[in-house]
Amino acid sequence: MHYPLRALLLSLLIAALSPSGLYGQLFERETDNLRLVYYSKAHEYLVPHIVGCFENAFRFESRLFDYRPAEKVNVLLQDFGDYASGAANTVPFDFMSIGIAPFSYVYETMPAEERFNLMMMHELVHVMTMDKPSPRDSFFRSMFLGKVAPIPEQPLSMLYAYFTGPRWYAPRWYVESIAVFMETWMAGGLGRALGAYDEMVFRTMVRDSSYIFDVVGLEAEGTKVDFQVGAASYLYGTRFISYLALQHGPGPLLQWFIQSPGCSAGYSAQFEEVYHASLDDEWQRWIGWEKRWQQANLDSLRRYPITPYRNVTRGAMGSVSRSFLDQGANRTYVAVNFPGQTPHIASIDVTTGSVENLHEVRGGALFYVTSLTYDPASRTLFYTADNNHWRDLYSYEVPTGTSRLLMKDVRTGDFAFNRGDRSLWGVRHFNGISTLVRIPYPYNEWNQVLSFDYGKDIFDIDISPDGSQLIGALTHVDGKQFLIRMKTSALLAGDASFDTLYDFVNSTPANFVFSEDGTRLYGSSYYSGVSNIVRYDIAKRAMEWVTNGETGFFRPLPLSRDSLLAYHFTGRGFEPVVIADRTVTDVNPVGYLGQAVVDSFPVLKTWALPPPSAINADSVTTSAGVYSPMGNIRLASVYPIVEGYKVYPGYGLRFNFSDPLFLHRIDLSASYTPNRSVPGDERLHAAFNYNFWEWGLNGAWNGADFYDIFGPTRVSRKGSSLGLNYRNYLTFEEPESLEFSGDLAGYWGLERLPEYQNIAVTFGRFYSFNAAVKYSLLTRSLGAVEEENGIRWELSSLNDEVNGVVYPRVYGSLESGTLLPIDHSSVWLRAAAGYSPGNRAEPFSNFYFGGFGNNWVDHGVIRRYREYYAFPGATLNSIGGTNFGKLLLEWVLPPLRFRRAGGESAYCTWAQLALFSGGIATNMDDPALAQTVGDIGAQLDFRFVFFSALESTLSFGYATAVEKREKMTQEVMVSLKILR
Amino acid sequence: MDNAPATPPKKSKRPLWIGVGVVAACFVIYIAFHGWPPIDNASGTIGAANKYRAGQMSEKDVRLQNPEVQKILQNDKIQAIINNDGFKSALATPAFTAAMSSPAFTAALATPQLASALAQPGLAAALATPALAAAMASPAFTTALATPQLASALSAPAFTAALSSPAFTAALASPAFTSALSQGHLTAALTAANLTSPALKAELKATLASPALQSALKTPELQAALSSPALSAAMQSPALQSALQAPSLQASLKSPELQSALSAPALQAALQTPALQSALQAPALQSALSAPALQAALQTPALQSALQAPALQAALSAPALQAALQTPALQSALTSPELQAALTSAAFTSALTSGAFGAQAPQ
Repeated sequence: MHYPLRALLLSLLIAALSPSGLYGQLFERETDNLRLVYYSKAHEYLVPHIVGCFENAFRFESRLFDYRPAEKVNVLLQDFGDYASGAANTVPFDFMSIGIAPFSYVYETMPAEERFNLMMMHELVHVMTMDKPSPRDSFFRSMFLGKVAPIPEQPLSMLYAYFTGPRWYAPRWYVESIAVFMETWMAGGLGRALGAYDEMVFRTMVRDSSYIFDVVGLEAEGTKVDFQVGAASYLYGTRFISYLALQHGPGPLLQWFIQSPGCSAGYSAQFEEVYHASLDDEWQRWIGWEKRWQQANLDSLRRYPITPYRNVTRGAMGSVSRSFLDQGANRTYVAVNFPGQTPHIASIDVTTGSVENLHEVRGGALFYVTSLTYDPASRTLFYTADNNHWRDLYSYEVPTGTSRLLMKDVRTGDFAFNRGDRSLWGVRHFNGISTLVRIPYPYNEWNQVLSFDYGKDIFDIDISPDGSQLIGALTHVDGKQFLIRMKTSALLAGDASFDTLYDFVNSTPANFVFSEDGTRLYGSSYYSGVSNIVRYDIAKRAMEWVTNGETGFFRPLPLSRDSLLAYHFTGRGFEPVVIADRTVTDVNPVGYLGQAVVDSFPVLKTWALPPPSAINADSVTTSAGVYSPMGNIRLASVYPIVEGYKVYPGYGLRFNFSDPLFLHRIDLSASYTPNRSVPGDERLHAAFNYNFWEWGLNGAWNGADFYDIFGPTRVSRKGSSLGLNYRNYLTFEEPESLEFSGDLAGYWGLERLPEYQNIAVTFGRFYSFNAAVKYSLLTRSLGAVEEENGIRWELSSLNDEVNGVVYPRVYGSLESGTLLPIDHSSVWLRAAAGYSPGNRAEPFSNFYFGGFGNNWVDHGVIRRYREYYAFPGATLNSIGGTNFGKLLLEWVLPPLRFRRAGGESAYCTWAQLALFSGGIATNMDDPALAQTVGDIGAQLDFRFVFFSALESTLSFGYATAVEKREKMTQEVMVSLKILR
Repeated sequence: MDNAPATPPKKSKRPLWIGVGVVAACFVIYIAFHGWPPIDNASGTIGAANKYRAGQMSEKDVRLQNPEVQKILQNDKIQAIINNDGFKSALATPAFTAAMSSPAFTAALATPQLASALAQPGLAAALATPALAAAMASPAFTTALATPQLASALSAPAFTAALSSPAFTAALASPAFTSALSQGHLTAALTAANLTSPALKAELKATLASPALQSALKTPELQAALSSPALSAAMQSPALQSALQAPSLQASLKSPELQSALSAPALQAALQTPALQSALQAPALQSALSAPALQAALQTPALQSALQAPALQAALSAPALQAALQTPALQSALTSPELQAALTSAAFTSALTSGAFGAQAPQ
């Protein structure tokens, strides 16, 4: 069969290069300092305010840091999640991503500061501190024509990235600490450096004599084993620099963070220059100081009787949701999320403390896990999944154990069940607005009840047992928070009036719930600096305290007339406890480290910004209209490269182009291999890659690859190639995805098969078209190294055309894994099978297997033995056939985490062993040519972190394979994957 | 004899020591519970934590752009319409997007006359009347909207030409015409089974005999309109006749709610406002109504399918929507100066034409 493939390729290329009109528009608003981009006109109402917040923060920070970025800061507004989010990067361009939904205020982990004001202040600090260059950095930026982003394909880029932006190579705690510190004082004290949650975490560690991680151990182990995972970086970092500020003032702190002429490139070296002490030593001094500080707080609290409590379960449960009592069964239902197990709804016997896992919560959130509510009449729980994106509503029937999806992407949480009419009430976050909604039985549609003005948010709602009243916490744009009450009938009639029950000023009225008789409310508040349970008498309109705790009590649930279930904070999360429903009259406040800092250095009060309304967005706008990705492409960086061609090194340059939002990404590389062993017509190498949305275009001339210098797997090939690929998701609801991909490629002047380096070819040209459908539903617990549970399958069609003959092959794979009762340990069964109808004598008709597949120095998947083409123990490509069946059983053991194995510049964080055994049969239809091989082996991986930001993996593998009636073969594999 | 007084016997000090001991014990017990000396920071009540707070921004410091539109977008019924697959497909058709972004249409939306008309309290009040709201939400009306014949009729060049003829628009606004409408005869006449039947229905006879209609028919404007070639072509078009005869349209025209709405003083007043008349006669609007793009859009299977979608009809006819349209809050919103200002702002019209009300799914 002869296809006009060149014509086809050309036409597809032409179509692919005309992307305009195929995709939605992006809009932009620019000032001298900002390029604000948004994809929905419905978000445009926020633009003037966000421009004001940005410019307001920019002016102050630019003065304080004495820096003005050389380019506009690119900010993308998005509504990808139901709670606010922010992220920033400076390499290769200054870029911020801002999620416009309201904050989650759970446990006061976030302050009630107006969110865009806070996020602009916070994220801009990242830009200023990571981007401001020293003269040395500026020199390298000029040399490389930009800031270099480290990429795995070119490991030397890591070095260049350090030269152009050394402060990017810093641990998370360092990067976040200054941003949290600044956000607090720029917001006039309304920030996490003066937060009760942070104070509670460290007070608890001291009370329990828990291990406080050192500067290396925090990132090596702490952020993986702590139930707060990555949030621990924020907590530790903020405490440490607040301590530094208290001891030495904010001046040296800024000197540490701000690059200036003569400063050290590395953050640790610069610390020594400023503070004349090693970072490690000062960190230890901070720990000693923290223990004394918290002991004083504990002593103060203990002046009055500490509320006794009875532990319900044997240990803490990590993050917890709101809980509900099933009186008939004497059980309480709560969703939990702790390291080692996937988030799930648990059922706890209130008397014995036994815990039963009821149902997994897909996409459980940190801290609050899910929005959970309960219908006691039908014993049905309602919960949200996909909590880190757009929430879905599910029901779970306790008697039958059946879970059912009720509404997809409902974007609603804070659910409360109305026993009066069986409806659900919740708070929907959409386009940055909070809306009280009602979902009537049978829960297949939601109805708007009340949308709040921007800046107001309602959360933690509850409905009285008779369904007549709704209470909740209402926050205003000035950070003030109130406990309010509304009548449900009035709300449904369009009456938005409410009764303010209590003014909590800037403290959160958290998790207030009705008593069973509807006369009292129970909640918690950090009023004294410690989260204690409070009781509000509705008739008397009086608030009383129920506990005097040392760490903190949360989420009260009336058990009986005189007792409550509550959640007590510990170092391993929240533990359910029973407390007496009594009144305490004496509770001492605790001292805040942040308060001590501002009392000692009142200059921080001058950091408070004026309101953003001081900036007139129209006056500072320089342009507004449509954002053109194509029109904004520019050179990001140029740098020298080293590539391997067959076994010889070549030297050249790589050019990187992109628009600021990375919608268009182009790279061009060219190198030359001087070694005379390489034929003259093969010494020049060139390649290009272009990516735009789902499309990719690539080409190569005598393609080379850095990792071919090391081998044994080599991808460099003589000849030229041109390829077009397409990748798109038919479903994308993390963690579930269904992806379709297609690749079309042409090869000319070959001497080896592109896929199999040991297979020579006699023709000079061939084409391939591959298509694949891949499904994945894989989950992981907090602190996991990789996915631990779930299912993945793939169906692929490989088609090669050579000299007018088409050689089709098809294969599929199916993998299923389950998390064992041992934390972070799972068992997997991986199966694959393939078939080709072609001539067995023709290499193109065959599948080839063999080897671990890892290179000595690599950038591919670490555990490549899982790929369908791998077969550890056998030589690369030594097993072949036109059909095959393969099975692999694997046991991944729990990782061994190292608290301190190394120093700040390089340390090992974990080691993990995987054991496997498998078998393969090929040419099953021809006994004469059939191969049946079995293997058994293991791979041990060590994860290292270099310069705080570069994760590398050193792998050791051993396997032995034996074929029927053949000698046993063995393989030892050592591989270093440079970048993650 | 010795008279020195006798040395008194020594009294026992045990009771004293016992007493002191008891007091001391009580004191110790007290101290154990309450502490001694007074402790720093011991407030004896629920002590508030000391936290520095500078002044914060207030609501007036938040500068937003047409936030009223956002409130509309939060409504579940609006979201149901926007997210309806058929409606989304209709919005995405080249014909519709061309229509919405056609210079004629955008110019029409931006005409000062239309803006002024929309800002008229009378029109807003008319739109807010419960009767009109009920009529627009009635199943008959929504079904009528969905009939392909009506869509075809509305897009017939003759009909749009008629709509845009100055004579016709003037006639619409003439007091006599609106009076005729308000008496119900005219609408009843339009529902006559066969307008061309030689045996005219009693309603038609009554209509023709009504003084209001006769007065209207005598107005130069209406006479000019009735005699315009465009109108007669439209009236004769099979599509329009088919539409007029559709049971659903007839049912909606007969509905007491619609008749009540049409006769509402607010609507009549609105129709007579110079601003509305001027708007209807604006060349931009007329050009937009007759734009091929709009006509093509109205005829797209996607739009017709969307209008006929059970979900959409259910949404539009839901009692909740009807109730919502009649709530004092919504009526107040519809007549509020802020909403009127929003609806007439360039930003809103820009939003309408560039997909602000489109689906929210990101790329």
